[in-house]
Amino acid sequence: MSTRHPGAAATPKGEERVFTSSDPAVGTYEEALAHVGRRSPRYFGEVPISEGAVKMFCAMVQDANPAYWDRELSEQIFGGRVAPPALVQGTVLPLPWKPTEDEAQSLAVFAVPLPGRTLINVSTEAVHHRPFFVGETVSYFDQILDISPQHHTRLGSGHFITTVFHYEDAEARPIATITNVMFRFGEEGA
Amino acid sequence: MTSVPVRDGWASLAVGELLPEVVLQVTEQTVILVPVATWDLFPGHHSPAYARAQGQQDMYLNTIALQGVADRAVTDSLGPRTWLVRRKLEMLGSVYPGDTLRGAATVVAIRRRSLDTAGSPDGSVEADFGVEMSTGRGPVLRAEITARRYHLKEDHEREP
Repeated sequence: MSTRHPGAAATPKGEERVFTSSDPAVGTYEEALAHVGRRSPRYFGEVPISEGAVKMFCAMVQDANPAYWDRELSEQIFGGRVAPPALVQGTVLPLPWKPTEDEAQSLAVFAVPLPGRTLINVSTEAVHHRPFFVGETVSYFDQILDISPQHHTRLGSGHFITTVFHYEDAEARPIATITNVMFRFGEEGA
Repeated sequence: MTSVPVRDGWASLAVGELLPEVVLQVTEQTVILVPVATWDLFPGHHSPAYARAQGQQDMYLNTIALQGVADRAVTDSLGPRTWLVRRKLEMLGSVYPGDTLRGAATVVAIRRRSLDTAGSPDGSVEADFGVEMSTGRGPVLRAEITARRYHLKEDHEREP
């Protein structure tokens, strides 16, 4: 369970606490408002996109698109083994454990201190600037655009956080820009 | 080169057309594949107990998976030469193991333009779609999708 860390949500470096989707920062709406405009560091995917990742994603949603299953066809159409656009967000998420002490990912969205202890996505708008391919390593960072006043929903009371995620290639050229609205809700101690 | 005929639904596309329905039987395995396929370790997608504490019925599909299913509503019909350039997706409800997720895309607009000698003889075409998907409990997502018939010479931005 999260503990209250007012002021611990500045862009994390070194000794700053790392907040995650299952352990976001907790605080007040007033403290949260100071986070509008903040952005995370840029993080790289642990590994390049693999053919296995593409096929497992397609297996999950039962996508038979031959662009993802036929190497030659994908090369012919796209000039490489293309990955499903929806998978871009799944190319950069961190491992739950590593033997090394690299800097852990700490996105700006989870560092926003709010009373709600849990979260759920509400909407997302993606612009895919170009196809991306098996063998590429994707990087990303996020920036807080807006934090709403308290709203009451069927899931409970909470706040909507609007964040923009920038997905880029190794040379920081854009792959996708995704604007996401997340609902932070749940009472303290829940 | 592949010798298999490649389906291409762009030529016959018409505004107002309802594309064939996409159906996904969602099982426990489907939801467990969320952390496997997307590395999304948020416990709502693998822990029924956590999900219920959130007010959910069970663990549920994540946004990435829902986007993948919504995209199928367009690409299943239009074929592999389709590249999705924009998707706005609104989550209206959660999708749990045991659900049948189904829905379809409607063609909202089509933009065709001629290409010069470097382009395809089929011309360049881009279209907007509205997608609605539901389970037995009602609507779970609404999406706006813009897709383009992909032309390697025109659109490919990778370094050689």
